[in-house]
Amino acid sequence: MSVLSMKNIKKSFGEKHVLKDISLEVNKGEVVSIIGPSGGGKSTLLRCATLLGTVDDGIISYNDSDVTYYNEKGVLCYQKNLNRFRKTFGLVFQNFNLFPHYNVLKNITDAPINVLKRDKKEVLEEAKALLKKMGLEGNEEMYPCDLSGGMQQRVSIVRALAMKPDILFFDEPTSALDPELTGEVLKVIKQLADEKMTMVIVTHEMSFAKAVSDRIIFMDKGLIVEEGTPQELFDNTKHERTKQFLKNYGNI
Amino acid sequence: MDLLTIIIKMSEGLTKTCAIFFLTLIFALPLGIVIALLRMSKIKVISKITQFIVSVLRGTPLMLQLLAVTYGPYYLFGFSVSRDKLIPVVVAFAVNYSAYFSEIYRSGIESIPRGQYEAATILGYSKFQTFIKIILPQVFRRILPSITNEIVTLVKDTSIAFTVSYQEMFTIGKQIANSQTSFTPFLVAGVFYYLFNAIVAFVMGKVEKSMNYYKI
Amino acid sequence: MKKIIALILALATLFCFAGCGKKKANVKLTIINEELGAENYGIAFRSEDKEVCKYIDAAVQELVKNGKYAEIAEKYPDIIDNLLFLNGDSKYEFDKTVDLTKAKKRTFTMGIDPEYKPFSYLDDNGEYAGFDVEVCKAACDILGWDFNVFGVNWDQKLIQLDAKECDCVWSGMTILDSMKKAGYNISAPYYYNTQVLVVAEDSGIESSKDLEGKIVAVQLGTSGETLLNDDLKELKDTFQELVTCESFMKCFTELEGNAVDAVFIDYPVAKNYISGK
Repeated sequence: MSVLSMKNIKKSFGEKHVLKDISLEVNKGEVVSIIGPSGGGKSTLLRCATLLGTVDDGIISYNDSDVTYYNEKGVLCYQKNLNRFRKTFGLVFQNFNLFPHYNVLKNITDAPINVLKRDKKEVLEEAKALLKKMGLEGNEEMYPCDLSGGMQQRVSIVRALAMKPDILFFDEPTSALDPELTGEVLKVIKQLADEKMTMVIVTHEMSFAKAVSDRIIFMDKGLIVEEGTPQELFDNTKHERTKQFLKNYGNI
Repeated sequence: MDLLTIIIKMSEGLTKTCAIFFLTLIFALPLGIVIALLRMSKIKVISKITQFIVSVLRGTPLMLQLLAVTYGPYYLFGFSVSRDKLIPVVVAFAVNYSAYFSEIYRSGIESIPRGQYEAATILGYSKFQTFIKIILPQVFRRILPSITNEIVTLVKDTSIAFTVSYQEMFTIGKQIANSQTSFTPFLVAGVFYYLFNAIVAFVMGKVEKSMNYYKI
Repeated sequence: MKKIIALILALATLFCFAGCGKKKANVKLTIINEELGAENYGIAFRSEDKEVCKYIDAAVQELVKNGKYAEIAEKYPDIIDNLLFLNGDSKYEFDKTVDLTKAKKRTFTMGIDPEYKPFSYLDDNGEYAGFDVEVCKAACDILGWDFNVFGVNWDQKLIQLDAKECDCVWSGMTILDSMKKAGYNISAPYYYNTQVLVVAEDSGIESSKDLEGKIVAVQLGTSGETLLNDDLKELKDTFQELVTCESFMKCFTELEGNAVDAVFIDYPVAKNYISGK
């Protein structure tokens, strides 16, 4: 069963076609990494998938229910209640986007309590367990400004997990971090992959992508140029464009 | 008339000064948010009209607006002038100050990074929840120094209520100054305003400190 | 879209102007026939300007002698009856030794309340006019002084006089004992004044006794205000509230707008306002 399915997605900003007919399916328990040069449409694809941006054409569906559909006149429409779909996915931002006025615990628990209306005690216990798992025990009362970038990113991953999403998106989760801090974040993501969390990761960390992914997608100029298992893509690269891109990253 | 009598007499007017001050804040602070949101509305007509109204309120003297609110209905339509002057005074002050507050709110709201809205949207917060729980607390934190400035000005502006014959502290000071051919009441008024503002500065300082537990 | 907004604004502006042109509510005012305080008008000079005071007094007497004073007074029928120099009620002893020809050339600035018709006001052409203004101008002509007018803030008039923003306060001003005590030079009294109450004709108020529990307006800084805080304090204490306005026009606006029940004011001003309506 596919958790996320995107069919023939098109999107342009004015004259610029950012996404030209992209189709993509992510199955339960699968880890998909999207790589490619900047401006290739990776982030736009992620924004469209997480409903922060709208598509011009194409069908997006989560767990086989469609977010977009064509009405009787053949015009593409979005469903009215998008929050129903938002419950099925989470997003980890490049810049963390934690709420600076909430402490770590409140950052994590506020949405489950006030949006999902779940039991407060239960949510708190879960949050504490998650923090422990991510090596953040004892930081419950800290404010985001008191934490290192790596810790902030881990908190934001916990925040996304606390919503119990079916699929988790990562938008270049280590790009805003100092190189020595990327390791701790990647380790956490790897841990999630081992637990069979469904994930879509946009990243520039090639060796990480290779190690963690079930499938890699190479995107350029709004198109999926090549996709396959890490072995297929890195070791038996078919397309010239992909080879050219990977050359910049040396030996992976 | 000795100094003590002057102080006692003027203190009686101080309650009326306080009434203007507190009622103006109670109405203008929330109204400012509403105006800021209208001003930022995606519907062009609403935004433009609000922008025009705000520019008029900020571009004309408060004294003029006070006269317009108090005597305007009488001159235009022959309605009675309000017997309790506190009503027109507070209406004029609240509307004028909400215009200033709205611009401060607007700058505060616009300074909140997009990412905060996006994070809230992803987590499923409604627009209302996002604004109240996520955006507004951060806005308050950012704009507090500007708000304090306006509040200090408001304390001093209360004396403008004299224009419509509202018997607040400064008016009473003028009466005494006049009947006694003395400058003392003005000095007393100066001390009163200074002390009032010292209290305002102290309270706002406390509020600011209480919000300092996080950095933006 | 912009055109629509412009249109709406234009209509709103038009509406406002139309509103301004509308007639005021037709409130008939009347003066209650009860003299509540008698006093004299005079001119105040700074304490060091004794000489100036004497020159002005002498020049005014010269105007009385040559008939110019009466000529000016005839233009102001509302006040002519109470002018002390004309009806022979002046008992002031003038300094006869003043020699008008010895006055040194200077600029003389009179301080007036520009809203105190008929004594001093701005006429339809925006020029200063009124009985006091004309007399002062004529007196300056006699002395060979350059004449100048300065509009004072009535409740600050003496402070402004001390600050030399003007050289005298001459504007239907009641002479108060406190001014003499404070050392100001005061001219010969020239006008006999009474304080009266103005009410709406249909208000049912017939004397000061009916003012119990009512709101009364008085102009801030006038002798009427002083009177109510001193000699007429008992009367004031029966009011619900005494409202002080910054100009007498505002007092009448409050009365016509029914925000107050009566205005306590100098008789000539009341008479002039009602007859001018």
